[in-house]
Amino acid sequence: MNASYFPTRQAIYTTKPELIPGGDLPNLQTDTGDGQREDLLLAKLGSSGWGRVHHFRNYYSQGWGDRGQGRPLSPRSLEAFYRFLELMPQPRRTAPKVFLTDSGHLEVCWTGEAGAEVQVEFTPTHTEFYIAATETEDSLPHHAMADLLHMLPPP
Amino acid sequence: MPVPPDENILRAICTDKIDGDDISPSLFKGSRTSVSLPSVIPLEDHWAIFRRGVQKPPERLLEMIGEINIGDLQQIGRGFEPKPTEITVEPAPEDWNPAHAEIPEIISRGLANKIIKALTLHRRLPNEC
Repeated sequence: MNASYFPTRQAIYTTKPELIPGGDLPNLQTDTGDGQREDLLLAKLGSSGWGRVHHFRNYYSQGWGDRGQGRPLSPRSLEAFYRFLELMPQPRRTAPKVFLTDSGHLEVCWTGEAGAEVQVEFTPTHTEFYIAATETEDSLPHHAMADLLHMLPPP
Repeated sequence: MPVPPDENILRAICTDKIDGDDISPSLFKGSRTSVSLPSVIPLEDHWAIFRRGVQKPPERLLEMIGEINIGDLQQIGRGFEPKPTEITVEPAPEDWNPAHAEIPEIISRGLANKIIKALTLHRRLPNEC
């Protein structure tokens, strides 16, 4: 059969040169860091906290909650939460407890030294915090996470 | 018409809001908080109603029911510094729960913490239902 009988096939899609395997891929990360994050979760929140975050990520889909108003876990909240855990010192007392709000935000709570209750909620844009001892209730942008940790009694 | 202050309200506490003995302030933080009236349906019957209406097994499970008197709740709100808050409870019946009601006001995190500390907690094992 004569190959020229068939019309030349034209590509519908083209692949950008930087995405062709073997090319220069400076931004490609072969390790997503999931393993490191699992370790971080276990180290800072223990197996209970690890399990709860796993459930919140995988099983709380759109529409959970008392009236179906619950939202799935916000990816931005999760990112801020991991950033916070990275910066948070290793708990010396008990590991912080983790919760999921109806808005799909992660929240961590702990009792520091002298019974100081602390609560931190990670919204997609900022971090809300509450220090019971001083009745301080405020929020900071995520980029000020390190400053926030200096203000909070450590867990 | 608001529910009178001599009545109580119930709040389902599920696994996303409780870890061990610690209860998240988000149980009451925000607006349009969903509650239920034991004056319409007795507390004992709320276990079955909440299990049908708010559980999503196996992950989201009903762990406790919190109860508080509306008058006490209002006192906590009025006495909250730095932002005294007038709290009301409005009936809002739903198909799955005719005793359903709402707290329409915005409750801050600090105030939610005060309310949670004042709750009477009822716990029941799943096989007791």
